[in-house]
Amino acid sequence: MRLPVWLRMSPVTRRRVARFRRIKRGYWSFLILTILFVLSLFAELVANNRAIIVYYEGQFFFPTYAQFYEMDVFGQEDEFGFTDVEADYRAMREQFAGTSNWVLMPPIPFNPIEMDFTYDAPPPNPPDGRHILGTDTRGRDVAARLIYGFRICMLFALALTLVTTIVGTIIGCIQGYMSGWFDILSQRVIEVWQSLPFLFIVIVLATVVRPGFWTLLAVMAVFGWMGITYYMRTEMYREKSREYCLAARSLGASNGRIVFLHLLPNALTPLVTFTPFAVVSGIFALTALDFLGYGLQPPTPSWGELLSQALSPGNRRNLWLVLSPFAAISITLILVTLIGEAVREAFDPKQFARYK
Amino acid sequence: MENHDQELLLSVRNLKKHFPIRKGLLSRVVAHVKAVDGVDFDLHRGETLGIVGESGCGKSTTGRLILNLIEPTAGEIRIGDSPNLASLPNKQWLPYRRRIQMIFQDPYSSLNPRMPVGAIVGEALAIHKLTPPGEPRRRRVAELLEQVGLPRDAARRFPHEFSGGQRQRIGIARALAVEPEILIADEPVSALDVSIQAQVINLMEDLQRKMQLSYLFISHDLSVVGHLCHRVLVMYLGRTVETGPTPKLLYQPRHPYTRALLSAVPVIEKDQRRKRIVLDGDVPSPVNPPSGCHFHPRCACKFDPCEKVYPKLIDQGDGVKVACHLYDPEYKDSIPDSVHRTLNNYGTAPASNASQQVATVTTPESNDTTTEDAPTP
Repeated sequence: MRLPVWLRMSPVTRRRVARFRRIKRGYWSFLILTILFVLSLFAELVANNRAIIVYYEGQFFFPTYAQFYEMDVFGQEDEFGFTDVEADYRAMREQFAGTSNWVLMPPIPFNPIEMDFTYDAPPPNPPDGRHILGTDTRGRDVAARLIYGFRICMLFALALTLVTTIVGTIIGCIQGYMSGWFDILSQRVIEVWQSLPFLFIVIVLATVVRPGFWTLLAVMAVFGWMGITYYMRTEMYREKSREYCLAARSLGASNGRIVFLHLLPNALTPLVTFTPFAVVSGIFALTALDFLGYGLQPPTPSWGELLSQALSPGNRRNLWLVLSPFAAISITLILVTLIGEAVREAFDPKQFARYK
Repeated sequence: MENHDQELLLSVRNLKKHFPIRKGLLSRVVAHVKAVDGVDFDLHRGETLGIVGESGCGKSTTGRLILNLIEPTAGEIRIGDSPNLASLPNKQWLPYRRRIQMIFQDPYSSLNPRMPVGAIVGEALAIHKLTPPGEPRRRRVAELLEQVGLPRDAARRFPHEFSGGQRQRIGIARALAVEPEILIADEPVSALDVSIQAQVINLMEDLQRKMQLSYLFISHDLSVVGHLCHRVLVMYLGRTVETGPTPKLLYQPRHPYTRALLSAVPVIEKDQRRKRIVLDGDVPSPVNPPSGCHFHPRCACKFDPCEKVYPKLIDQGDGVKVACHLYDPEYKDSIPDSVHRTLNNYGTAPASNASQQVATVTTPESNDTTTEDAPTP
């Protein structure tokens, strides 16, 4: 099969990928995390109060991604006799018993912002058969919130990494390639910019505007792109002095072509090795901000918010509240870090030249 | 053989490159490295001009200046009847890059390790929009690879899968993609084994015959230069010291520096070994070159004016130009006898054998025993 030129892996890359696959802990972490992330993209099928499939009176319904079905579609009515509210899918199993109708519910039949007040005791309620990880202080299912929290967290961290990497790479490349005055000046600007205490700035900003997903992403990207510029800059300095760069120039290649077609593919090592750690710091930063209450707006499901609930004075004894988000954060960070270490090891050029 | 009947392709006049040395907080320019300091030459169609000299004499810089890879400080570069190309912006240079290309010294670092050979060779086709992408370009790349003696399927492989000689062929194919008239070869064989050198040189000769190419051959290897070049230009500290047709320059070197260079060419036959001239010291710093003739501190034949006046490049009547006071009619009568005596022995003793020695190294026949290398699949 012939792949386009830019997609074909160079033998060096192929060897690195093979080496990464041989580092078992990193490779397995990568697989597990990828599967979890892909699953979390379909979280509506895993934790939701809407059924996945309803078979009612000879007709199939797929309420998960579909529109709103009113109660009378399935012949339900609520305790006050209304029929124009959303159907209660959890009640269907009982309702359909003994008929040919059936319903398939997600494994966790609660959505993350739904409050469950059916218990006698006020929330938080400890884990039981109904809520496998219990409910939080507002009666919301902890397991559902963990899953949706994971999705938001990962999406946020990946988007942040993507944006900061692209911006940092472009700026670092231009610095290294142009060198001279532009390099010196922009380097000083970056140093000043980097010394600003980012967390305080976000906190101050959060008191003025209530941050949403995108504003938070933008703010964190603005303060997070500097790290990678250092590496890209030095890589450019090194690569541009090699003769193939001169050869490209003598063919008449434009600067953009040289930087992005010739130099960048040779300077990808720091980029790839730093990406997993950038994801770690993205997850960590979002969780920390949520914990402090300056992150995503409630009722967005979030790990940091769960943790802050658990650590609030009234809830110290409700251990399930602290254990589950703690375990989730730890496991995710460990997985990403293991991937990062394996990538770094796979890219280590000293594999071939060991000094004795 | 001078090809003055042939069309003039490249003319370089008074080419200079002074690199500033900056110091201190404000980056004040404290001095200049005069890497190239006024070089003139012409190159005709189908001709090979060799530029020789020690390392650091500005040969490579000259090559790069001509292609505008380094911006010249002063001088004129004309390709054919073009306007002066020196310090023309890159955009306006682009059309001229189809007429002049370069072969690089190091076959290992001059090919992008992340690019398959097809992309490397085809890049010029893309930049100059010569062949549309896809099948036509693939066919053209295969054609170019065959032209330099590589298999067609080399296009799909990566540079590191090839040997040094094959990689240099890839570099030549890349340069040929635009169908240039002039190739600047910057020490194209000095990184290769001797047997491979011969193959690459034979390839370059074949290509020259087929395509009427002109070469600017930059080298420090006099036997290669003698074999390949029609004319030679000897550089020392950024300036021309002697230039002329190869046989003249190698059989009857005039400038003491040329004589010293030639005496360093190793000879196998014992009875033909001549006295080796060992130059004292290093090449002086181009930041602060010696007064007068730059060569005088290392020259055995120096006399009065050498320390004071830089010698003019004077035509000797037989196509050779020498920048040495010994050959300047103005000083002809003031040369001391001792210098005459030294000069007569200098690098050519025994004088009758000297030319033959060079000839054995440089006649084309001596290299014809080497065979074309068959690229390994």
